[in-house]
Amino acid sequence: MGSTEPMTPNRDLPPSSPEIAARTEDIFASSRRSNFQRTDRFFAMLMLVQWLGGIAAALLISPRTWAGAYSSVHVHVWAAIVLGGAVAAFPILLAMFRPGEASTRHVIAVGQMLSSALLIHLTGGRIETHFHVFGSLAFLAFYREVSVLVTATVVVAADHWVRGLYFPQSVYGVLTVDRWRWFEHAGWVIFEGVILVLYCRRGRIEMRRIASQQAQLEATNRIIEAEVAQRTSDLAAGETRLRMYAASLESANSALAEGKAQLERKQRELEELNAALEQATREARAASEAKSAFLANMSHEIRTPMTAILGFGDLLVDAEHNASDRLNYVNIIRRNGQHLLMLINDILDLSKIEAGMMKVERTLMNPGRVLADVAALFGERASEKGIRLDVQLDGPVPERIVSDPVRVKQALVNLVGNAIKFTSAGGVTVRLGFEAPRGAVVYHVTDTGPGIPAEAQARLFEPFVQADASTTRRFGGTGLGLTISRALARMLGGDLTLESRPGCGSTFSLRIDAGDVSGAAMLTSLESSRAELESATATRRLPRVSGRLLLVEDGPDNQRLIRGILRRAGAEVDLAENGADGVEAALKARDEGRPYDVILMDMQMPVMDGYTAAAELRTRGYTGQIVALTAHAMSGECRKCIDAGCDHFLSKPITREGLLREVAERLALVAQI
Amino acid sequence: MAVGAAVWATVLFFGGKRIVEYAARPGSSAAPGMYWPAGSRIAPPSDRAALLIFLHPKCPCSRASLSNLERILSFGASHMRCTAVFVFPEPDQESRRDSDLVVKSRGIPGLSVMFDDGGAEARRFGAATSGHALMYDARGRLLFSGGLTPARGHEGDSAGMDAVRALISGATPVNVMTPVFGCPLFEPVSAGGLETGAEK
Repeated sequence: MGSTEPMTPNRDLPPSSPEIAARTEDIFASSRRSNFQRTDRFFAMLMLVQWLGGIAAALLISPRTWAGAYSSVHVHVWAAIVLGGAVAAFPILLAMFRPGEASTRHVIAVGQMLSSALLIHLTGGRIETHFHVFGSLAFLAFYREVSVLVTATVVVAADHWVRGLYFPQSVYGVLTVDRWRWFEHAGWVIFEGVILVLYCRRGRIEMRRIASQQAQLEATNRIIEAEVAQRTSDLAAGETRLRMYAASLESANSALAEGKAQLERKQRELEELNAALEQATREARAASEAKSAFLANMSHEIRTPMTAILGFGDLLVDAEHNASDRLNYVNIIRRNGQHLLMLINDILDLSKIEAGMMKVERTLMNPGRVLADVAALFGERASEKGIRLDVQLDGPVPERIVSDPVRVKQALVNLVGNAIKFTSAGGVTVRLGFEAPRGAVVYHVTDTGPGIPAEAQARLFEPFVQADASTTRRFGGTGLGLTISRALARMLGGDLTLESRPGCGSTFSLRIDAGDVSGAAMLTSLESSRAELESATATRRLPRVSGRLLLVEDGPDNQRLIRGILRRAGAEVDLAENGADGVEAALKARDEGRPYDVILMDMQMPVMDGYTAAAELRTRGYTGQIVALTAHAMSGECRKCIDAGCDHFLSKPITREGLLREVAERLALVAQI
Repeated sequence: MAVGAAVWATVLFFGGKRIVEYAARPGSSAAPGMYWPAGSRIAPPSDRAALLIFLHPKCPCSRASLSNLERILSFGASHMRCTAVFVFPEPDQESRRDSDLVVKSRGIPGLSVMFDDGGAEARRFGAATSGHALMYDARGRLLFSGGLTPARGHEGDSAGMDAVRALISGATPVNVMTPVFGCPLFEPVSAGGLETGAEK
């Protein structure tokens, strides 16, 4: 491949190689045969023409023979037709059906010379016609076959010899002729024959030379074709390799492009990641700042009531104050304590919501009663601020819906509390309506407060955010109420939305899913709800408890508080300082036949905590009621207490009502056993 | 192949033999008188020899006789008076006076043409075949009688030509009588051999 060496025809095959010699003979033989066949066909045509020409000559020269006035067709005409046809027919047939055969060309030679003789005869022996003989010999030389010329010459010589013997006058014009006269005539034919033989020999030599050249040319062609085939194969192989290289390059290019694309994708991902990280950093920073602000706010919110609690507590110690002042101081302490509790509850609720731990119930509830309850709760506060608090129905509302009354009330308390807090003149209106197409009840809380700027409305529901930093300073609050309320509304299948314009007040719409209200009666006024509320309030008198109780509590203040509440309610209360003492006391009382009706078990204690103590008691066969007292308000804490063996739990801070109702329920259960 | 060749050779042999025989078959002629016949309308020789040749105006074979006569005349036309006598067996055959043979005869230098209506002169001189030549010396004595061609319709050297040439040159000819090859000047008594395709 890529060689520039010139190709020489005989480089690989010598001119005299046996192969070429054999091929030369093949080609020569083939050429001779082809020449024989071609000349046979030529003579077939020639003899046909001669036959027709003889007929024409006879018709022209001697059409009729005469006898006086009578005539008939001349014998020459019949001879031209019949004898001339006979002379030509056999050679023509052989030329057609046996071309190339030796016998064919010899018959043609005989026929051709007889045609000459006949033509000479038909033309009356004209000397010019004799040249046909020489022309025929020349044509026969086309065969390049000496024997054919010999045959023709023999025919001419025999004709002259035989006719010289039997009818000399027809040939020589005399009655007697020399015995060798025929040779004089035949001699000229032989003379031409000799010349034609030389011509034939030269022709054959030329044919052989051409055959040799063709054989060599074929051999050269084969060499060239082999060379071309080899080079074509090399080129094809080269092309295949080039295509493979090209394919490899394309593959590499594709891989590079893919790599580039991947790098670009990675770069974009990194950029997006960086952007996300930056965003997250900003958000984290903002969250950190918000939480810092929140903590500062919380610190302020906690320290403020704590200041009041501690300060008025100090004043209570001072004996100079009369009973009226002291009652006033206690009320201030209680109010600030409740504020602290609200603050802690909000933080816990937000924590539950963010952790996905907040659960809502689906029970039958009266939305009108919730509204009446909230109105009753805030009525006194609104009056103290000198603003009105109106509640009304905005059309018929189902008397019973399926939702969580505690959480609905919590959200509504937030909204109404905020509205009262931010309204200094005018009032707050709460409208309860029902959106039948949505299947939702809606509480619209409308105030005549300062309103909220549009740019602040979007951020208002984010945790730790208030419309204005000054708001906190003016009105206090944690900034968590709206966040919690919106989350609760959404958990209840609704939402919390806001419409507000600065200077025109605000309307918060708390929308909750009503659930299946088919068949529910429709409220047309809030009177029935108020009556239901008052009835429930009337029945909420603190119960009396009478039974033996064991309080397992390490805190002396809590010991004093809880024991005091229970004893004042009529119960017999024993104390244990820790879990171990509690287990021992409970088992001892059981073994003595005076078991405690209820054990109130603090869960965080030294020596042995409440979980271990409850488990120990259950392990040792204790079957009495155990109520856990825990400061952990998370829902997981409840499960933990139940798993430890407690029957129920109370979250600190413990209210008197809550404690007495829980103990009364446990005692009622014991009484049923 | 061999059978075909044999058949072919046979056909050619007999066919060739037939036409050779036809060519070599001389015509009939009566024995001429030894002298110029009396009563002939043709002028007898006076100062030199005379050569008469009787021809059928349509006989194709006689074209060879005229060619040979032309050669003789080219050899020695001045030594004799030469006349071509075209025989018309029937007087009403005027169209034959312009036949190719007549026209050719008129073109040969030294050859006079005359017509023998009814064939009386031919009969008078004993000529019955076209191409019959008769040569008389100046005194009217017959020197040669016969045809001038070697065969029917064949021109070229012949015994008749040699004889005439010899007589012109004053030599003694080998043959003074030769066969005549040509068409009959007169209808045969029995036309049995000429009836096929014959026209009149």
